Amino acid sequence: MTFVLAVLFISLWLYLIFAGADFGAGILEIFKGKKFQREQEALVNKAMGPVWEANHIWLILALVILFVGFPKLFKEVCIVLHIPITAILIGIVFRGSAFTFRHYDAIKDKSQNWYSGFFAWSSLWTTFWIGVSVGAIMEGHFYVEKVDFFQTYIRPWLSGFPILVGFFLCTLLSYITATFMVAEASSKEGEVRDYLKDLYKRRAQYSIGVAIPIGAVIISYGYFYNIYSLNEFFNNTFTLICLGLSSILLLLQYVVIKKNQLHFLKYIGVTQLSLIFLGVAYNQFPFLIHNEQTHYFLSFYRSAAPDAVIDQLVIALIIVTVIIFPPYIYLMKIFKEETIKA
Amino acid sequence: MDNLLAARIQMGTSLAFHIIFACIGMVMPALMTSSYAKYIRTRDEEYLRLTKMWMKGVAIFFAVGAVSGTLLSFELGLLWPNFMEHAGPIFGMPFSYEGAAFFLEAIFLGIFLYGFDRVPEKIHWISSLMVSISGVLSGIFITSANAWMNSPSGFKFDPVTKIYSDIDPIAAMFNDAWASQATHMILAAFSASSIAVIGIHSLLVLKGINLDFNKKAIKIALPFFLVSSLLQPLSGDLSAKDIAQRQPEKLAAMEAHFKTEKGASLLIGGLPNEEEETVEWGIKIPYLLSILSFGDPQAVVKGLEEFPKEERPPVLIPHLAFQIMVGIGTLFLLISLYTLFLIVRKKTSFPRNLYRIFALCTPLGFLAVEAGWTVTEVGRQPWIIYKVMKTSEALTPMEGIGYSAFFFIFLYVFLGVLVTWLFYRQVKKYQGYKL
Repeated sequence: MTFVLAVLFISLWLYLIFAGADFGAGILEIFKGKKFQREQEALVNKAMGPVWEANHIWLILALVILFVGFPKLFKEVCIVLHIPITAILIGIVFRGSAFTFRHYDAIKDKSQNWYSGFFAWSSLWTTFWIGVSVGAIMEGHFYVEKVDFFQTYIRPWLSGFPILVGFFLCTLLSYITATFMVAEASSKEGEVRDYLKDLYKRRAQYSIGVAIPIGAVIISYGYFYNIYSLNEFFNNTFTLICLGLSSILLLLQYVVIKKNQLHFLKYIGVTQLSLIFLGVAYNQFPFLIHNEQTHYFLSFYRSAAPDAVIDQLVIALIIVTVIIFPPYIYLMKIFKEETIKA
Repeated sequence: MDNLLAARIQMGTSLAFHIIFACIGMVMPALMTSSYAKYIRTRDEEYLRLTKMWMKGVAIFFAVGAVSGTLLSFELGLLWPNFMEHAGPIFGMPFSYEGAAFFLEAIFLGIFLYGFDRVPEKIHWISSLMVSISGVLSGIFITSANAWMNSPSGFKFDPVTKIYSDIDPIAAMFNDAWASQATHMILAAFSASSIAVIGIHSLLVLKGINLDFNKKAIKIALPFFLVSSLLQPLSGDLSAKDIAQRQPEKLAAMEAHFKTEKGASLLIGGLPNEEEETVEWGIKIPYLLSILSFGDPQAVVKGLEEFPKEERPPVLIPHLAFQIMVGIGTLFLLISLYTLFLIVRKKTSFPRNLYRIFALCTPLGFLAVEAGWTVTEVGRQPWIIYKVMKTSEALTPMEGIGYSAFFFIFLYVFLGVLVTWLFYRQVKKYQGYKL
């Protein structure tokens, strides 16, 4: 069981890191700089290109673990969050196809602008709804007994907290990606490099400038509206440390940019994102949904499938890991060499 | 609209869309691998061009297939949460392995796409081969999950308390239907996708464009089409015998066979009337249904009358879909035999009419795939898990599914049009000509 939970945790984490960078790149394209637009797109393509198809697999892996290992949990979330999940799916379809079309369309003409537009806006849309769903799970406005349509299917996500989390995720991911892109831009030369580096630096500043106030509002909102996950934050030393460290890293980032040690940026960004994820996940566990007002509790342990299933799932996951990793590492390696050469 | 019907329409549309991309994603890599091997052997630049052209196609179809597949795995939960709650733990194994195979496919496709001149040629070729192997594997696994819905096994079910116990995920994966269904599906994918490729290149040959290049393309795809189309009737026969044993009401619906009969005759064509339990028009071939179902002309074939009305599948749709599938399968068999005859006679070039036939057949394979899938899905109704859970019991309590169904249909039509347009542009660029 612990193993399955660990893999679930890791796959969600990897999805956040890898797909998060994809989403962020898309969001940043909305705020493209005026000059060198094609270079900016090319940079995104290069950063995402060979691995982006593989990125979605982390989501699918998490999904399969959920419905095989924790079927009750999967069911409840699918029923109550039907609308935001549908919104996520629509976004995934649009951004996935738009990105592919932009990359592979044999004839490069005006349609490129359409693909880019779809890609950028649907990235924002998808990230927002993922954030809303996460927020809805953290707030946990679920009911044991079925109530009216609004309370059952709308209220859980249409409320201040989830929507704030939606916006927060958008700003957070665009911030992290902007820091990535500063490093990527330094592989260019001359005027393009200076322009792009400066551009992404400013994007990073704007995003974090918005993310910090939203984060503050989320915390105070959660505190005043007595949202369990948020109240727990303050009793939970581990989570506080994670979030604290993540904020302190902001300063380090500032220093690194000042000193022009740009290759560190990536690692700092990943660490920040990971710390936030770890803190939130630790705070939520072992419950997915925890609501004392409606007496609705959904814990991983209690909604787990029978042992025989979990055992088989463990075996499957081990086999999968052993088979997948060598080629995956190889792909990453040749891709990395390519970046270094460039 | 009724929520159940809307959910079925939405699921059906999503699958109908995805199945085409999944088939292409399985087969195109095999063609690409084969053409790449030819290039390595002969160093003929045209094969390299062909490989790269097909590779672009694979990348587009794979990406769209990946997206629509992601959608489907969520839709299972969004539309049928009660089904997933109980079925998830039981038939989750093939899903896990399918996910793994898909992941492998994505990784190797990444290596192949970006590996030209970067990876040693041998490894590069192997990665192309691995794309096609893992594509086929994921096809087998996902069909095995579907087969479990037709032939549920690996658990005990109490119909009174509705409790599922003694779950054995491995037994569920290797259910009675998996082998015959997976074989049928893989052959269908190869047959349908390779004839589509052959058809498009034949059209270009007929137009007199890049004759040498397009003929080479046809030559590479042809063996895949011939072998799969020649084997498919055998696999179909096995499937029919299998269904006669396991799901007699599905067989009866496919055949519009209302009355139980000894020495039953096979119905070709015909318009079934479900109210009056009769069939208008159609040709009956005596004893053939008994022979095909049980290998014995005197065998008794159960009619729909044996089953309670509320447990009978619809008849009209499965029957018509079955006619379409078998019709196209037979046509492909005849075309393959004729082509083989020409090859054996050492004809150096095919007659123009054969290219015409190929070109006309371009969409037919996919039509047969859709029809066959309709037969197995609609023919299983009203059950989602055969004899265990009804589709209506699986439905989400969420309301207004009609809206989302309409929206998704619109989305898929839009995507379909876009992909076709993109494909047209690919051909235009690579062949330097408008179709």
